[in-house]
Amino acid sequence: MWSVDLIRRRQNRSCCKPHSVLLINTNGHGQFIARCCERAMTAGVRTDMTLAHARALLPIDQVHIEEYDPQRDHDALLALAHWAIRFSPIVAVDPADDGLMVDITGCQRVFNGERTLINRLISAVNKLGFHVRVASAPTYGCAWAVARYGHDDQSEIHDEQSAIEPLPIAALRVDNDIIESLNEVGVQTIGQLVQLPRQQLPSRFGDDLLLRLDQALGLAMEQFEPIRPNPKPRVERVFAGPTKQFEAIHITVQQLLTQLATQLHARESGVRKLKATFERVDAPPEGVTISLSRPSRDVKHLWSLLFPKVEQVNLGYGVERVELHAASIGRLQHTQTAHWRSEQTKQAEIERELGQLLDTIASRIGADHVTRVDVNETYIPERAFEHRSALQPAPPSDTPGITCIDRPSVLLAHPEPVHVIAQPPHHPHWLRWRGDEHRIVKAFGPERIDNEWWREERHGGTKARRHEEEIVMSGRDYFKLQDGRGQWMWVFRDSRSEKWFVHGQWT
Amino acid sequence: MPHSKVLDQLREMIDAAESNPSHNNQLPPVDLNWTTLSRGVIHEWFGKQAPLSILTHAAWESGQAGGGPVVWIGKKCWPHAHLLVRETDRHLLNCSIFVDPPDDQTRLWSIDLALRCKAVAAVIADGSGLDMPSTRRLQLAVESSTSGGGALALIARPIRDLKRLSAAVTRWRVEAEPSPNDRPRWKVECVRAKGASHLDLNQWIVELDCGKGAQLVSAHVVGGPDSKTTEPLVLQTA
Repeated sequence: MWSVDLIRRRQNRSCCKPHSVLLINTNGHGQFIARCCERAMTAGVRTDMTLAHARALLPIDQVHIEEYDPQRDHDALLALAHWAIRFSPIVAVDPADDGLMVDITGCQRVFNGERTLINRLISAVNKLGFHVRVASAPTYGCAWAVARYGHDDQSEIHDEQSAIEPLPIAALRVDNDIIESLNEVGVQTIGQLVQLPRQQLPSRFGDDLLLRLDQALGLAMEQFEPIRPNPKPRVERVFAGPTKQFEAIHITVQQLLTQLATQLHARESGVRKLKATFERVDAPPEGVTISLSRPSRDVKHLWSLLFPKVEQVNLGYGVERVELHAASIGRLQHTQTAHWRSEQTKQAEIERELGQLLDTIASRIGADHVTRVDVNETYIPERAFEHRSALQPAPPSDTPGITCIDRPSVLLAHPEPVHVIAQPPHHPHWLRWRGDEHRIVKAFGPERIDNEWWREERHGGTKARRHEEEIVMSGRDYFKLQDGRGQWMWVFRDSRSEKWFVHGQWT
Repeated sequence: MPHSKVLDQLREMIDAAESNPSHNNQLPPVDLNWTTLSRGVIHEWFGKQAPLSILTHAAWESGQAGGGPVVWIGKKCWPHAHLLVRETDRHLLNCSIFVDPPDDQTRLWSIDLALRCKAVAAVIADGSGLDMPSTRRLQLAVESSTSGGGALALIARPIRDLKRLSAAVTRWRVEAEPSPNDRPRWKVECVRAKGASHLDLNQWIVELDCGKGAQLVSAHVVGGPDSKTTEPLVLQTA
């Protein structure tokens, strides 16, 4: 189902209507089903069925058909395996290209137990947009069998034999010929297979069957090749003796940056996060880190960001070793040199210059002070938009929609209480806000913005936070008011407390 | 050579120089349709509060004309993000970058840096408390990036700063104006346009059309109490 999950994930990103997914192989004899989703299977579609037959079983306008590309699926699984290294250093891709093997031996202590580790793994994979079935067992063969043929999406096994006995023979990762041979003699499950005399099994069904059974039960060893993560670019220089000269340190860092840029160039990538470590004599190492909004291998730019921080490093009794480590890198494509600049190169130049501007500002005032705006799916005005650091990558394009309604040009961070003369449910005729008195000459409203009942009420936090939460969770009646001087204000009445607040202005 | 001939030659040279557009110091007409609001120079906007509806509209027009990112510097100049969306068009929202400098010195440095960046289409910044050298610095910064057309530089300043000296090329005063309908209105007055020989028409009433979720500003010249013009009109500074 991995292939189907990849398609589904892409469909969800582009907000496509969910359809039945058919992946096909095309050869000289026609088009045949290679993979299909559960919905299609329920309708009767099977692998190796002709596409015409499969289409006849499904509604015409609800089928998504695509060529099956095993290499693409393998690459995606490999990328997921690299991602999964955060849970364990030993991760392997299953030879069938439909799962991952994660050796969590010893890792449970880092995650406060095996159960927590598994829950976090499942939650993280689900967030990526994939369905996952997890089984943890003492042997890989047992975990493989239970994850694919067990009843639950999540299983923790401590006794291999009792776990695999009710499962079909196919759970042993043996060829279809062996499965059919065993079925012919009435052996359907592993439990029935275990009852047979062991000595006769190799001669009748081949060595593979017994080996797989023993591997699942932990009686035979099983080896697999874990993926090897690409080490991040790293350069270093060890001095002959400790140095306290800033000039020497600066020249060294600049030279190391050049070396690092060469490595990055060879990998067609740029640095997103750079760590410089200065190992000092008789003192713990000093480190400085810079983050970039987009990948870069421009030595001048990197040095301009690093220099103010390197200047502040306490060299102590002297530095013995300097190391630069690209903690995070991103793809930075090579570009064709051209005499005439095309639109594409101009766009790339704009991106590069903007990236350098953001990096420079963020390195001085902090990444949290340079932001972009994300749209949230909520009616509550102060929560509808959220600032996120501009150095973080942009979210996927399927952001929530924005309803075009009348909103003030300035929205106060927190609604400010005002004194009013009003007779509910009507609008105020007079109000005092920030020491100024306003006589209202025009009013439009009310516009009711009610609480979002589907969200849970938050508890705890500071008193101000709780008060704000109370306002949010109660309904509001908004009025657009104009005072005698032509100023417009956005005022609401809290339905729970019957108090009035100013929430915005048109300036 | 007699003096009269020398004077004639000099006169001809001066006439030729004055008729050459490249030597003409006068600005193109200032237009409250915003499309011809000059790039590469500083425009200061004065108001009781930052006139964000108008500045956002100018940023919109800047984005439509030249594209590129728009940088908003200083929290006082951050509009509500809803204002950056027109119907389904999120172009301005997506290309907006917000900078929140912790102090005045960093704010000036950030504006300077943004104005020098050739990639930036518009810089809208809080210019509270800027003195003459600071505005001169900003003017030089925005001039230095003119190889790419220059950024649209809009500096919002409090009304009390109107008395301060400044190197800005244009200065605009914005005041709230009572509105007969539900659309907020402002009176916009051009109080300075360097290079303008005369300013016959220098006041407009602008109106925010919120019905479309947009910042469509319709301009009406305040030519006098009898003026009924509804066409968007141009302030001729030449």
